[in-house]
Amino acid sequence: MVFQSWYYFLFLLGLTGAQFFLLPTQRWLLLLLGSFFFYSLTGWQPTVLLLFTIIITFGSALWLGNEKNQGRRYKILLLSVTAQILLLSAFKYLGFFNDLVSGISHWMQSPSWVQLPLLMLPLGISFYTFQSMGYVFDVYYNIRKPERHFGHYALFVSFFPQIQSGPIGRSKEMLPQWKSITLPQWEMIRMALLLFLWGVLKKFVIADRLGIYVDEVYDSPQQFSGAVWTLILFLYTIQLYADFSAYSDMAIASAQVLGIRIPENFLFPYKANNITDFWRRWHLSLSGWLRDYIYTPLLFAKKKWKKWAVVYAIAVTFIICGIWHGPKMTFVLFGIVQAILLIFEMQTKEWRARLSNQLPSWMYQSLSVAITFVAISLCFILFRAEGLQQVKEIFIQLSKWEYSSVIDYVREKNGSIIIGLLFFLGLFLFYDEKISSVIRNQKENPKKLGLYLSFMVVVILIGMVIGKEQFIYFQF
Amino acid sequence: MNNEQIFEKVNGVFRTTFKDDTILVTRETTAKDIAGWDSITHLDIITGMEEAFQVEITGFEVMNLNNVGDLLDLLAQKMSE
Repeated sequence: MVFQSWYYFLFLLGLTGAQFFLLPTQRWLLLLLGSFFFYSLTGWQPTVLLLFTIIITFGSALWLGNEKNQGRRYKILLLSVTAQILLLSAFKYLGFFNDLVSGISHWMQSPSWVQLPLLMLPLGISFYTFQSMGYVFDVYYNIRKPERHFGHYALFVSFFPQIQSGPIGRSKEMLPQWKSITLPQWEMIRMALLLFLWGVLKKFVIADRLGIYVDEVYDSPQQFSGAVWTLILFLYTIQLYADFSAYSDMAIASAQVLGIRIPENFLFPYKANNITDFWRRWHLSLSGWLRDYIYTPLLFAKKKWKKWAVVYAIAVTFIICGIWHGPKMTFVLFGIVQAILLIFEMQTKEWRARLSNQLPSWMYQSLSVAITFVAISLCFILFRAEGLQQVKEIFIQLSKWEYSSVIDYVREKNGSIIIGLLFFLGLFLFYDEKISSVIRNQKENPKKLGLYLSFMVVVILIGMVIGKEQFIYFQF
Repeated sequence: MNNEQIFEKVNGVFRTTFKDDTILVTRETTAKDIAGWDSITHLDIITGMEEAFQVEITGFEVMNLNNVGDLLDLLAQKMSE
């Protein structure tokens, strides 16, 4: 059941209404039943797998809580994390293993010696695995005590607004909320409605429309010149953000009408003035998870290496980040490129500080934001391309510049639609912060809010007429 | 070493790390309160504390630090061992 459907809207409305008939301490049960119903629509096998993950992590955390010996606690942690990684790998990475075997066999000019059968990828497995694994780490590091209420823990892992594509919740913030759920005031519901509609608008009007142009060019890369490709690279960068932040807004809004707070996932990422800054603004729940459970432990485990410890921790963390996105070499390369850029920024920190003192502040800032945007757009080729061969083709095309071709392209695609789209993109890119603060501000003038609401409904209706696509991040 | 001396030494490590003699941390100070306190400077702070107090701080212990107060408690505990 996708967020942008009437079935989901009715489901959410039904759950919100039913909450009124329950005591604050009983509402978790309804949310748990709702969450399992929601997830069971993807099939009984994924639901059993989800339940299995819940049992493994709940049990291992209790075991960790009862064990005082640090050596044995480490072994329990290792056992729990290994079990989860094996489970995730069985569903997500067998194809990667097969590709690797085929590649080596091809290189050795021998037939492939093993091909494993592929299993269907359960929806949200990467997200809920990281969420439950994070909880086990929290118990191991004594950040929290193990949860003793199985129902509360099961809801933490399966909560339906988050399970498909995050935001990846933290046990410290999420678990205490189930004990007593207070229903939101009207202002909060109004705010959530606006946020949800803003998400629908970003998805239908911006992401899906841009997707049409992006898909066409990615489907036949050699037919388009470098100038058209450059335009498409920028459009995809905006599409990905519009798509994923739309999903996150809808998830946050859904939780909010049920009286639950879930973490924000974005902080205006295209205002970042370097790649380090970008990762403090992009997919916050994942980057925060990687920082706390992978990067920091690795960094301090090798702290005697000084600067090399940072290089090592960044490299390992971002390779894991790449692999987490999917079983493709392009994702691994995406992680490696991010690590190289971050290490480069670390090494040039003082040089860049000197440069910023020599240039006017506005110039340095604008240049930094523009360079970061271009760098991210180039990196996202690895995110969108089918394989390394296509990445190579795109870079070859990028080297063939014909300025007139982009004008022909816009003409061919009906200039007025492009101009209309760019208008909304401008609105989205430059005013997102403003729009976001209006949407998130409970004390906003109701008349003004009504105006925004009507405007969004009209735009969404126009957008819906043209068609709809699935969220990009569902594939992870 | 009394609490005041520990505090003064801790402030010294912070001033050296951030190259800023005006820094004055309190028990409640967190990474959000000092500009430029990122994971790299965090590593410098921890290794700086290890050198200044002649103690060893493990990665496990670092994970439990939420503010300067936690760091002070950890240093006091390490020195009493």
